[in-house]
Amino acid sequence: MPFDENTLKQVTTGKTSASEVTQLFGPPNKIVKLSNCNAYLYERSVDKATGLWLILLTFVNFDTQYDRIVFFINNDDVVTHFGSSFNSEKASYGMPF
Amino acid sequence: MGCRFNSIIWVIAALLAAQAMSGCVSLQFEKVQDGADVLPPPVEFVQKKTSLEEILSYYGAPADLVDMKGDFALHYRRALSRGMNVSIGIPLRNALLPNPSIEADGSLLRYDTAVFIFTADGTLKDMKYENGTSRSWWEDYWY
Repeated sequence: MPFDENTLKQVTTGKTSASEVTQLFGPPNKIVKLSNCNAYLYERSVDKATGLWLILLTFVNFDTQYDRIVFFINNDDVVTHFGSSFNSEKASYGMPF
Repeated sequence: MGCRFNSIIWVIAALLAAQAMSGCVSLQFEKVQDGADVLPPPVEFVQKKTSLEEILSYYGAPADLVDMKGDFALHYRRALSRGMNVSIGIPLRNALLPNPSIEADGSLLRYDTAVFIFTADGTLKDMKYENGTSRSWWEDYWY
């Protein structure tokens, strides 16, 4: 299920806590422990595949695009930075040329 | 009646010809794209000056984030693979075994990548960018 970009408006650096992040976005896909903070990574993807078979010729195209959000959370469990990219809607059907 | 019979004969002949041809030669072209374009870093991005916030604002969330035992790296990546398969055979399966055929396939996976390495306090220590998909597919394939 894709992320709702508007949900990110509820996140404020220096105020939003780690538990509020998980309440809004659920459990992260990956947690990276850094030396003085943690990073929560969220990822959703959309795959679109196209195939055209013309007896002698076959064309195959795969396109995978992602929605990603990362939150940096300090030792006080507060979001210090976050970044997002929403590209899953750009996944498209097409030919391999 | 004779005309209809002729049509059926032609359709069957066409199907048999297509089957024989498809057994003789076939070509497959494939493209696999994973991720969105990775832009080159703007000239304003400078080591020891650009902040983590600026990188996140410009590039968004990374494909991967790596702990480097003190430092950490943001990794932005787009993968593009192109492949082709050529198959030539003689369809003798029903008359004679084995069925002689030759097949060749190749694919090339290339990356557009930007990596930003930060110190623990969020200072940009190093950055690298490679636009692999802009290079000649043919030259890279035979490299």
